[in-house]
Amino acid sequence: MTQEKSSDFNLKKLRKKDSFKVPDNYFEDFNYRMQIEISSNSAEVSFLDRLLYMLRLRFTVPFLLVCFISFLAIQFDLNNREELVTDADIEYYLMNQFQYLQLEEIADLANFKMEESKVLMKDSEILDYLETESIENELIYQQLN
Amino acid sequence: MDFFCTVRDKEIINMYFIEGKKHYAFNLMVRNYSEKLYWQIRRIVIFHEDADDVLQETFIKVWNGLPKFQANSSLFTWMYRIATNEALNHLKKSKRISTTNTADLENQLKEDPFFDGDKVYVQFLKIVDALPDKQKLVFQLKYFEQYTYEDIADLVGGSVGSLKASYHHAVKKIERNIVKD
Repeated sequence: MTQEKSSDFNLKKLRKKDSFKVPDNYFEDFNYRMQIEISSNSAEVSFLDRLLYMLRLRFTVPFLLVCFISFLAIQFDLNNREELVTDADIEYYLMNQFQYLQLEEIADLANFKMEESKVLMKDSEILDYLETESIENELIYQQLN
Repeated sequence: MDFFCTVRDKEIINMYFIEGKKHYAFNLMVRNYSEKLYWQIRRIVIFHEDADDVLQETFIKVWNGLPKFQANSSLFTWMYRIATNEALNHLKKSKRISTTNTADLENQLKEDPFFDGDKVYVQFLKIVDALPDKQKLVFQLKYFEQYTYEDIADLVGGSVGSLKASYHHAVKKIERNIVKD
């Protein structure tokens, strides 16, 4: 191996020959490609600009106004709901409803018409009523016999 | 600086701001400077495909940045800085910051249809590629483009004295490291 560092290496010699090449007509083609690139680039930009302009001027303010009004309406509704219906109200309603259904069922069994009487009866009253009626029925039965 | 800041540049910039002449002005810029910028980029990234990508990116940035361009520096100086930054960023992205110790560059160059250098030239490129960024830029501008130190100072910054020292160091490194068969 006879490699040695070149002390008399001449850079000026290298300068004469640039070993880099480019494809034929590269610079002419490049100019043309750049024109196309920039045209499409500016078309995109102007479309975006137009869109943003439209959105900014025509839609943003009304959109924000609608959003604000909607927000207020939702807030107001939620506050009112909280005030109108509490847990205690719901519990009270369900208990009444349960009581009413029970009475209705019992009334049906006893052939008792709630619409006619329009009187709401407690369980104890109904039991008393049924007991009295069964005694009367028993007396009628005895008389018939 | 008069070398870079020509009357033509001013005309082009003025034309750019006239409605309807933007594209024409930009086309003039591309015609005037694409070749100069290409060679500067090519010497940094070495391969044609990379140089082509970087050159395109450079002109897209120039197009987007022109509305904010202030004529504090010349048009070419401004474009040169964009091109150099783009080329260095490209190298960082492709992770080929230094190729001195790899045989890849040599193999890739052998297969590159747009390169016909001999073994010594490949070696020379590898050594230049491994120089620190600023030293490399100074060397390339002085050696290949034959710019004056004043012009180089305008492009890359720094004093004429420090640029001379950078170039001198670069030449010494190259000459020291070139191995002759």
